[in-house]
Amino acid sequence: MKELDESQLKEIIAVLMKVGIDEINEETSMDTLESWDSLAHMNLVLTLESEYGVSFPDDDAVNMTSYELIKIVLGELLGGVD
Amino acid sequence: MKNLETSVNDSALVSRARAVLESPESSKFQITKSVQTLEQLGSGRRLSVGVCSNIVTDALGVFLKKYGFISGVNIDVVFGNYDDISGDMETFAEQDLDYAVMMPFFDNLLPSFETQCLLMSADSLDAKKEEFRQLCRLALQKVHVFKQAFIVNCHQSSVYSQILGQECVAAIVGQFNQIIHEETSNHRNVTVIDAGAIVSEHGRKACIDERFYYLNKAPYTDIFLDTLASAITTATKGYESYFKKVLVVDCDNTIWGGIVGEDLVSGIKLNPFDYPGNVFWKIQHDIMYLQNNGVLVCLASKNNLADVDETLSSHPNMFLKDSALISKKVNWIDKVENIKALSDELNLGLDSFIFLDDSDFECDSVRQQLPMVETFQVPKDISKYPELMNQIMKRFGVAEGNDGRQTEKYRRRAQAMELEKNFSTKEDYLKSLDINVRVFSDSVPDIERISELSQKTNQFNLTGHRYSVSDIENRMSGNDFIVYSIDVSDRFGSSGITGILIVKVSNQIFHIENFCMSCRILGRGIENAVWTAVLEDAREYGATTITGEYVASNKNSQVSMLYAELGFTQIEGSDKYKRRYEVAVKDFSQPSSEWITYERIG
Repeated sequence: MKELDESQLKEIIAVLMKVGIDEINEETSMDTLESWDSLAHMNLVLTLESEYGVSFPDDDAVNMTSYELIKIVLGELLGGVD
Repeated sequence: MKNLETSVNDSALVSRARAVLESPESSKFQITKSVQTLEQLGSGRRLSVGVCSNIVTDALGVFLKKYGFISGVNIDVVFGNYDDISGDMETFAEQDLDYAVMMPFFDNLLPSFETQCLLMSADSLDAKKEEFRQLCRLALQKVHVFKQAFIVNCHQSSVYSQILGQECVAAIVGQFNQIIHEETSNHRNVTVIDAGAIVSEHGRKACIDERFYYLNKAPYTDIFLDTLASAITTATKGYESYFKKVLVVDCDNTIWGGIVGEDLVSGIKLNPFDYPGNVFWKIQHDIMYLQNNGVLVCLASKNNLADVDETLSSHPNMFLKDSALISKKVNWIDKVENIKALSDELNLGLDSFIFLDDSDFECDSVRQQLPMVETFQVPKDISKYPELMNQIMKRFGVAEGNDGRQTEKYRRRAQAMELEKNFSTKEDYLKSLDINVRVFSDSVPDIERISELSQKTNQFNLTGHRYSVSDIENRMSGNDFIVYSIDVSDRFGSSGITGILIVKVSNQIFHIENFCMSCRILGRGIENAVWTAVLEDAREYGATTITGEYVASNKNSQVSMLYAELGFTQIEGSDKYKRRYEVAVKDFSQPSSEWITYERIG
């Protein structure tokens, strides 16, 4: 079982959205970041999949459009279902 | 002192970032990060590459930049609009970009084309092929302005067509690729990249991501795009960061097996059938192929000239012809001296030389004494020799499967066809499409689609105003709004509702609340057709003025001048990000798109 390292997750999002890591927090979402558009989102999903060795189901891939949601979905995939 | 420190730190950062890019182990994230670092430091000479496609290929950018930085080049990647290859190519030419990449994705030439094409009538398929030919022709019209341009050819991508309808789909894909070959053969700076070869190298599953194809029209995986970017870099010789022109080859155990001085002509290993003669026989074909593509081939061999000449002229399986060799240094002099002599003779710098030999001693001495010559050693396992030859061919920037004579054949055929039929202008081409635009007002059955378009459209969206289904319902049922929806079809079928324009009517003013068009139909003048309906209604309602607004977002700059181009005047007091425009109904003349037939419905 792999623990989710939040600072690493923040860094990935920050690099892909081309913003400083300080700009990524619990409130960050597609609505708060201008650079987080549908293309950047696709790129993010692919990058998270290869970095964490997971595969997101279609619905999650489309809907996890905020830092909070990504954390939850990733956490579940990495930790397994309770 | 401070500056010195910064530059020392910078150069450490640059070399660390480049090491990440060069390592095959690096993850996509590491690559992205390193590319960003190098971009921020402004490392390398600057070049621009335009990419246009009928699918979403933005992820190619990072890989083009990756191989660019490896070659010491900082590439600015410019993406075209969605599905407007000929328009994009025109824009790229105007923008003076250095390179252009065209990527027509077969399965999206029409929706699910691989499945559709099997069920289409022969006439429709022929019409589609003809349209594709015109598309290629238009896209290539100004291609000569680029240093080099690439067209990634068609290939099968869907699982069904590969297993079930393989023969048929493959045949149709082949016909489209034939068109690409014919249309590109007149353009010397255009290279066809065989996408099918990339897919078969890695496998369809590794190259095509169905999820993002269906979700975002972005079918290619990182593996495919990485290989493609690498192929483009190869074909540009690392964006002209190196130039190889001369191939110097040894004879014994390099272009044939064995030693001719000992084994005699009859004893050397060279034939199409048996190992290891079959490997050397293939290698000779590769060398001739390079020679056909302009590489200067020379011999440098420690042998008796008479033995080598006899082999060249009398061995029955000798494919490499004496006449194809630009110079022969067959003697007992040191190879370093021979290579230097060749450089003088050909008046070409040593850094344009590649040297190929089987001997440790010869390779080492050339590497030591002439480090600018690129030296390759024949592998001890001869079965690995073709792979090495492939590397050498890449260094010459020669793409496999682009045979010189074939090109000539295509060129003649293309010229013959040129006389037959050619659309000289984009307008002629557009006329041939039989575009029909239908404009509906307050079309209740389309409410959901209208709302969806307003939500999804970013580029051609004047104000960014988004509408829910009930917003649209309310506007349609009231008297003070008109909701126009635009349906487009051409001889290949219907694109459905692809544009909306919403007008608020009050006090003799027709105010355009928003105007959106799907980007997949831009570049055909369709956006002009809606004004006929708006103008008709404005007159009927007795409106005197039409007003509109442009609200800048980070994606809609392409329509920032739309109202100005239509002849509206900007109202004073509006700022750069929110501009208001007006035009008097009596003064407004709608732009014409003569190639479009127009129908008013409802």
